[in-house]
Amino acid sequence: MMNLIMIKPALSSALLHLLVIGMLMFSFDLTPTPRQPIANNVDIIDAVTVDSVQVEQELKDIKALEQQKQQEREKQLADMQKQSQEAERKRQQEESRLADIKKQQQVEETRRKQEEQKLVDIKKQQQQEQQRLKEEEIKLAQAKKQQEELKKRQEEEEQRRKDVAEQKRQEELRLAEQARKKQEAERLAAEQKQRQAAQDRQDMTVINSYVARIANAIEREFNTAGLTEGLSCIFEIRMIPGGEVAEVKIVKTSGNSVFDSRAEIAVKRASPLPVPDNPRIFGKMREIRLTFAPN
Amino acid sequence: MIIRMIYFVTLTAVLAACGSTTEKTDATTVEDRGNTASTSESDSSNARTFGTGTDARAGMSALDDPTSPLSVRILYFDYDSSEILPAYREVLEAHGNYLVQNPNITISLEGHADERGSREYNLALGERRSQSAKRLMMLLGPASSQISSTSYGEERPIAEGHDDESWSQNRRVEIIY
Amino acid sequence: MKKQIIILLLLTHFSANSYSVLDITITQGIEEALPIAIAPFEWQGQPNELPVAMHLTIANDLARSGRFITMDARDMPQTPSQFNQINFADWRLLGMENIVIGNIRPQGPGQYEIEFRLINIYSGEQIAGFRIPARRDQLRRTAHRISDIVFEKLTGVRGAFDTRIAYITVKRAADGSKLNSLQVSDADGFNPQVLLESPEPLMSPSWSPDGKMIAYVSFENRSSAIYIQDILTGARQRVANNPGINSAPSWSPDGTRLALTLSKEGDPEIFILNLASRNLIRITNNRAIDTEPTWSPDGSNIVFTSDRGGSPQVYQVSSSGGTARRLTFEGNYNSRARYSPDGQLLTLVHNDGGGFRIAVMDIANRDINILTSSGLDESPSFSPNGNMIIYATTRGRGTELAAVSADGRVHQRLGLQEGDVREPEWGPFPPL
Repeated sequence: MMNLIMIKPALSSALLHLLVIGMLMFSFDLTPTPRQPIANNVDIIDAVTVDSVQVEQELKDIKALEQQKQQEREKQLADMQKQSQEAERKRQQEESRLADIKKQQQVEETRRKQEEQKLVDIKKQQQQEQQRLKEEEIKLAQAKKQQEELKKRQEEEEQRRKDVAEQKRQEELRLAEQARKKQEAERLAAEQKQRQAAQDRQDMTVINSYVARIANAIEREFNTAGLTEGLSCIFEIRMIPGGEVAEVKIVKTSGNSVFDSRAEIAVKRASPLPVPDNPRIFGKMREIRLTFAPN
Repeated sequence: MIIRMIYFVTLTAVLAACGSTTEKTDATTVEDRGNTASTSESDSSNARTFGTGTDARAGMSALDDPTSPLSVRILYFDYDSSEILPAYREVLEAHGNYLVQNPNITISLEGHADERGSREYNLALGERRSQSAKRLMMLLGPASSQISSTSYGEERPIAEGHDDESWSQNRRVEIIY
Repeated sequence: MKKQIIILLLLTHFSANSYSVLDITITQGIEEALPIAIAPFEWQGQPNELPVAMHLTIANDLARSGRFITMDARDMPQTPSQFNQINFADWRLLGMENIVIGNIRPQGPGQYEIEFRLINIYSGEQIAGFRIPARRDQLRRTAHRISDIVFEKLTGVRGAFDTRIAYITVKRAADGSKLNSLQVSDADGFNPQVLLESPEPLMSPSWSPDGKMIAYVSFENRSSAIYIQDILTGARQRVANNPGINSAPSWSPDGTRLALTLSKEGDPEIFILNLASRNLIRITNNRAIDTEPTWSPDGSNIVFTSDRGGSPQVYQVSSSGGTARRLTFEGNYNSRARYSPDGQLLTLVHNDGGGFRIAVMDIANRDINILTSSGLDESPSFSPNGNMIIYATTRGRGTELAAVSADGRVHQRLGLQEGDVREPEWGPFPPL
């Protein structure tokens, strides 16, 4: 097929050359182009102004010229016939030579075609090989890529493992630190607690003595005359240093307003209540929940 | 004089009764001592009380005979007691007999009490005193309708004082013709 | 007696930033009169026309109850009549707990408006405040009403100052004759009104529960008879006039019956007279003296005096009759009992050798608390709120009324009347 395409242009080219030569040789015999009349018409319009005497003359000249030209043309035609016969003969010779050539060309062509087929086959083989190689290459590339990915994953995995391990190590460190701190804190707390307990015990003794005195002070002012028996109410009081009662707040009423009021007045009358000067101890007793429950 | 003598007899009887009655209260004893001690002072009120009796118009009637037991018109009592003291037996017999002899005559027995204790109880006590007197009189046989009994409790004291002397005079039954 | 103090002490764990509340229990108190100041009420009319010193009436009422100790106006640091005039600090310094302030405004002829406020010195709060219109003749009564409000607000018990008492008076004329009268007056003895006068003895006034009638014993026919009389109209009727004694009327709590003592069957017994039907039921049957009946507040029982055990003692019997139960065992003389309004106590005449004195007995445990010390006291009766007891006492040559707080703490004489005044009987609460 390729051979065929490649031969045809060569033949066409030769034919085209011949045609072009022919055309150049017979160009005067060609009929005027369709544009000619249009050019004459333009001339006609211009000719109106020409002098009639001149026209007569002109016409005679033209006629003479035309006769001369006719003669020349006839002569020319005879030459051309002669030439044509000669060309025909030459052409037949040429045709025969061309047939030989063509025959030769056909053999050549066949051979060339075979050669070409061979080449095609080779090329095909080459292409197949190339294709194979290409596929092989792709496969290889894919394999390589997979391998790379695997490697990457492995690396990542490794990194992760390393991170976890690091984290774990950090956590263990932290826990250990925490435990240590906790132990320390506990030890401190225990010590503090012991110290506190000891102090509390001491303070308690002091507070107890004041509790009795506070109760006494309030009881001396708690007027129960005529109160309904069996009632009780609860107040929360807050003192300021010195024992003055700064706030008296009922948190549980007895349900009997007279009873509640007597209790509240008792606290206010008893204010300032006896309290220790020591700010620490006072701090522990500045708020008192007072239950009024007379027997 | 005789009246006064009777009064002393009464007192003696009271004292005797006191001495023989173990259950008498302290108050009774106190009251009796006071009575004895104030005898002279009480003359005036006694005299007034008994005055109507001693205003004798002799011979008019046995009732008016100051020497008769009938002239005794007041019976005295121990504290919180309606027991007729032995000294008054004769008096009550005399009045009872008189009523029997004079069936048209009616008497009223008024019981009284001293001011101590509660008034309503004393009203009842006065009534019981008058009834004690009535029961004794009735033994002699007068008609029941001849003797009415009533009580004024402590509302009509003879003596206004607030002492044993006054009280002893106020614990009484009056016989009223 | 040393107080026993029980203290619950709960000191929970202390730490740097936590605090603990100390627990203290007050198990004892004191029994004292409440300090109160009654500031003179400001008179807002023309000078020298102040009708009544109301603050004095109020102060006397409250003091007489035994629950209050009043301050003399001359001792007051100030005499405010408006809330914003009160200098609380000054009063607190004096230990004053409450103050009553007020004013009296004339509102036309004989007409006034009284405004008062009761203020707690310690809280600075107004506990009560009222505006009361009153005619001139109602001013004393208005003062009693104010006393009632103050009393109730500060003790939780209804006041009984705006109540009345009935009693018997005996006056001697120049000729030695006696004039007996039955009277009623305000509870403080003021404003007496005569219901009945008689040359013969009158006894045993008893209020109907609605306070409109009084039953009494009159000897006007030379023997005892029981009458009931309408206080307002004076109309009366004789409801018992039997042979023997007719005495000791006592109105049932429902007002339909009288318990009384009749001896028509020979000796004094307790009867119940139905006032509408005149039906008579005998409650006791005993040869001894049974008298002085009085109803329990619920009407279920009657207590009375009987000497069935040898000496006068107080017994209790169902008001439908039955077996009597002796209540008093202490002392050789217990008589004329009256119930407290709550039915828990009896006040009676008691003698344990120390004279006839007024005592209160707890019915449940028979504890006897002797309230008076003179030797001739009688006729006790409770105020309708149970806070006070009025009775008659003999002083000098006469008899007069006296009041004692039911706890025996405060004694007051009501020596307002001439002559003997006796047998006081405290009337019921006025209708609300």
